[in-house]
Amino acid sequence: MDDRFDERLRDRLSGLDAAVPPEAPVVRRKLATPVRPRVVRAAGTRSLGLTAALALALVALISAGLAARYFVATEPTGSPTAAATASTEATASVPATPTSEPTVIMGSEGFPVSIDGQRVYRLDDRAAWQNLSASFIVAAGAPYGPPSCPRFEEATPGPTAEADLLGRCPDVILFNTSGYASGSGWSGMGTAPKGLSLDAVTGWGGHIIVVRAHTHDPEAAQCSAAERAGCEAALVVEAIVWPSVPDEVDGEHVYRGSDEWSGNLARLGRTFLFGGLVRVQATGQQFSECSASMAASQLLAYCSQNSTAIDSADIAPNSDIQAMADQVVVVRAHVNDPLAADCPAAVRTACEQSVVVESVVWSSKPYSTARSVPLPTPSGTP
Amino acid sequence: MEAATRLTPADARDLEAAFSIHMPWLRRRIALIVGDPEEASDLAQEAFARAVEKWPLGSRDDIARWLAAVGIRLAIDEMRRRRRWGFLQLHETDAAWALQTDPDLWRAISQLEPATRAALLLTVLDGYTQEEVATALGVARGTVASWLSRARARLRPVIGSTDDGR
Repeated sequence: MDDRFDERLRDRLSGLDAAVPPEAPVVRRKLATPVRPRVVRAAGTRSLGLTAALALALVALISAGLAARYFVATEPTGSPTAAATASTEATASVPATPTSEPTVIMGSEGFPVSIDGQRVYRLDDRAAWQNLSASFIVAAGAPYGPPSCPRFEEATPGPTAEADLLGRCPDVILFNTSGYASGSGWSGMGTAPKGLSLDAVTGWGGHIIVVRAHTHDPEAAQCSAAERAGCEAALVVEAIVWPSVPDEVDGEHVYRGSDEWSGNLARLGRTFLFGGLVRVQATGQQFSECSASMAASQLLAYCSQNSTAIDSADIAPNSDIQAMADQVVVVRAHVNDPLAADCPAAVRTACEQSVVVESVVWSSKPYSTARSVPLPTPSGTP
Repeated sequence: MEAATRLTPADARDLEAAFSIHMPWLRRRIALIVGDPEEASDLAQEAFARAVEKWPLGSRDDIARWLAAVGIRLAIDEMRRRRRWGFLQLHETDAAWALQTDPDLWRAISQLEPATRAALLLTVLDGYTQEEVATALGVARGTVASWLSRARARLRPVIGSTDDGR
């Protein structure tokens, strides 16, 4: 968001940071929890010598425990994961019945030029769609996250309509399509539309989406005279029309990334359908629990050198769907995998919450030329 | 026991130096996530215990980044564990220091998911990029961006109220 907001937030957080009480001279053990023991420092000393000695002793104990767990875990467990066959073959064998597919004509740049006979405008060509009186569809680049807003004037009073339509500090910026075909990155200025939530768009980050939108929104009438022209020209998104993810398959609801972030999936207690764009990215860092525990390495996304996400939600490495990168999928998945019981206590909860793909029940390849813009400007500004 | 034989006297000295340099901020940062300073001490201690396993970790920046990643993730996991084991929920009195300092802000950030809170602290307070936070927490960059957006939206009423007089 804006620099001023961040600056004030930083000041307030710094106040809290400085107020953390200093370390007490006497060690207080917390109520015992069912986790592995922690190294506890000797009372009244910060010497690392004793700490290191205790830690090393623990390393030996923990290593022995992990080794034992490892050999147990290598035996067939009969878990759902063992039967997972995430492949395009699964798509063919399961006659999913999502809503009817639109007729899409792809252009040479790798995104649609026509959908169901309707012209797809480019966000860059503002002059072509700016004064249309009815809804139209327009292609734009999806961001990875929210913009920072250095020009945002947070305290500026004014009608709500102006804040809505002029997007002084929007959650979402759509990018011009220029640069997509060449893979050189989003170029030109972006547009801050009303009506598009970050939840809806981050799963497509780095790719082109096509949205149904309009200008001359009725709310523009509530803007001040000085801002009226800007409000009239503002882009208002009604829906993402391409690529599409089925809302349900064979009558079963398809959950999305926002359900993972909000914890909905962890509460389901059964397998579920989960859909969105498959993205694979390098993680670039390895953690001790990944090499120490086979279970953790199979369940924690960050344990894979190339972590996989569906609709921006991390997927367990043992899901083996990296080959479906840049495809839109609906998968059958579960959390609370039995393997989680073999994860080190420190990461067991994360293991339990990890989304494990069992099979792919529907897929499409909207980005047939399989390109995405490389992490351009997550904090980019219009 | 391999780690024990691997550590040289020079390693031990470096470790002790790193402990004195990094322990204070790591403990404070974890305290802002778990609330309880004593719990923060234990978790920071555990992060250092893990550092012993991995030593040497590299430059001072590398050490700081490594400790931040491990310490914060330990804190997040501790919070999740507490949430799951309801009877271990932190009492508000454990964070009396925070309530006395900035009650509105503390209550607001207490309502954030632990991982969201961590991402906010690491970016706003420590200047880590979204990509660094994503790597540290083992999530997709877009996830971090989404967390930050939500966090700022939730904190906006609190942060705005002081200066705007609303």
